[in-house]
Amino acid sequence: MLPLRRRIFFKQSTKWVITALATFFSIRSGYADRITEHFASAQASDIMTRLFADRSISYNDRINLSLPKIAENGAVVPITISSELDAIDRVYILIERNPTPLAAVFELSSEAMVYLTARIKMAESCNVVVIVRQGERLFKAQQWVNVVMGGCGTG
Amino acid sequence: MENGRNRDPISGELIPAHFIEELTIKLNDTTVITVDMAGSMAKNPFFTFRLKSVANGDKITASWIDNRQQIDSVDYIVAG
Repeated sequence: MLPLRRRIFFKQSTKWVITALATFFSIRSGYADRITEHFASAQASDIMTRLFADRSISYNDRINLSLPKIAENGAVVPITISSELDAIDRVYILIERNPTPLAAVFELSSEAMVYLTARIKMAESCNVVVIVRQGERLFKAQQWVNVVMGGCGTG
Repeated sequence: MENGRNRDPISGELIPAHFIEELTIKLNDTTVITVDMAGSMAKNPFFTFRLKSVANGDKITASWIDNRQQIDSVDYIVAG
C-alpha cells in the first residue's frame, strides 16, 4: 500500500490529466480540425482554391462591410461585418496581399447574430474579401483598403 | 503575438510564431461561436459578437488556445 500522501498525489494528478484532456478536446470542438494549409503562407487565390475548390461565389450586397478607406497603421485595421442573410454558418476574412491571406474563420451557431467586429493586420494596400457560407451557398463582399504603413513587421 | 516573420534585432534570428489559434465562445456551456485565426489578426483583435437572446444569469465563457497549446478561459455571468 502506498503512503497516504503519495496516494493523494496520484489521485489528484490523474484528475488533472483528465481535466486537461477534457478541456483540450472540448475547446477544439469548433472548426473541427484546424486545417493548417488554409492558414498557410500562399497567394490568396491558392488559399481560395484550397477553401472552396472551384465553387462559384457571387457578390451579395446584403453583406455589409465596414472598413476604413485609408488605414494609417496596417497593424490595426478595424473591420465590421454584418448581414441580414439567414442561416449564415461561416464567415471567412481574407486579405489578398498578406503573406498569410486567411485571417480568420468564424463559425456561427444559430444563436449568434451575423454581426462581428475585429481588427486585422494588413501588409499593404489591397482588397479585403469577406466570404459567408449559407449552407451550400457562398457569397462575398470586398473592399479596397489603402494602407499607409504596413503592419506585418510589427508583431 | 508574433507572426514568425520578425527577426530578433540583435541576433538576427527569426522570432518563433506565437499567436492564438482558436477562440471559443460558449453560452451556458454550448458553443455558439468559434474563431480560427492565424498571424493576420491584429495583436489585440478586439472582437465583438452579438447573440440573439441572452437572459439574466446566463453564463458566457470565452476560451482560447494558442499555437503552443496553451489554454485559458474566462467566465462571465450576465447581470442587469
